[in-house]
Amino acid sequence: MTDKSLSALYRRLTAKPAPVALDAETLASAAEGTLAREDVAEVLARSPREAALVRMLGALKGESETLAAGVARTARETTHRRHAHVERRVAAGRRHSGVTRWATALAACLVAVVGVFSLRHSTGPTAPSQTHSHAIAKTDRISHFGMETPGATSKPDELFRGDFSGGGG
Amino acid sequence: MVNPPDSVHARLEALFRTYGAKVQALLTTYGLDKHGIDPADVEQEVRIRLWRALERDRSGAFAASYIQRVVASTVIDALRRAEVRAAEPLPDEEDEPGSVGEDPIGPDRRATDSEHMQGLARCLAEIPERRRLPITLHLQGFQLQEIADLAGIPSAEAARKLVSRGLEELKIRLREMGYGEFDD
Repeated sequence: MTDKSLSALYRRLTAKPAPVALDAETLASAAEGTLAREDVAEVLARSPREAALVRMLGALKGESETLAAGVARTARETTHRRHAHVERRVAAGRRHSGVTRWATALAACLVAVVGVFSLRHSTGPTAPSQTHSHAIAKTDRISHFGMETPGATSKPDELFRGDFSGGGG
Repeated sequence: MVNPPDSVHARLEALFRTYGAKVQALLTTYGLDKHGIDPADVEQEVRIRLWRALERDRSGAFAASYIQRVVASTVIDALRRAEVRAAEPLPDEEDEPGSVGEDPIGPDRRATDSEHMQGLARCLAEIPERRRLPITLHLQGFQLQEIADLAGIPSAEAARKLVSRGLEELKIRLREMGYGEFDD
């Protein structure tokens, strides 16, 4: 019977229009059983509305855990799929870079071979001309001034010779 | 071939739909629909808020406690909107969540009820604070473990003893004051 039920009587006694006194964080913590605060307990004891919400959250706890696990699982699978896609792209990139590396090495070898070949061919013809110019240089005299006697042994180039010994020479 | 993002979206949508249905059912079970809120609206709002949260943080790191807070804040907002509207008077509370079909209270019975409520308030005020809190939490519908957690009582067994003794004391006082016998 309604009028002989203490619970029903108490809830009617406390069912007064009043603003919601507790915030979501406090109510959720109270429902989790992680909040042992006398002031909060007193508010809940006086307010059937907040009490009902806390009890409802307590009943919803299992469903919330199931939802959290489901969302996490879906997100994990999505992330895994995205990683696999990225890995495939990286692997393809790696293969491509290997080919590029080989091509570069081959090109470098080719350049080296051409370089050596052109060097060999450029040193051959220049040798005789160098000998010729050396011969011309040997005949150059700067300070003979036509004073030597013919047949005299030619001396090497002398730009200046000072002899202060007094004797001829 | 199924487009993977669509598939993920559909799976999340299915998860949220199942959860929303449970939220809606519990809002009715615990009588929160009698406080001027529409369980369908609350359920939809919860789903929208969860989607938004998921879009903000694509890591999908949803903790159960976070989901609980989303539900709590959505219900509180709905209750506050209902307070502002104040379109209909507050309903009479029922015995247990979900119990329906009780007779409406007539004027005579309302007068007796009012008298009983005053008597109950007086008797409760006489009970020491330490014992009053577990009793009132029990009368508000909390289970023994919940009472222990909320009131900082070491165990559900200790809460049971406090509630049991407190209720006996309350009934004796009511009887002595001439209000007759009461059930829990």
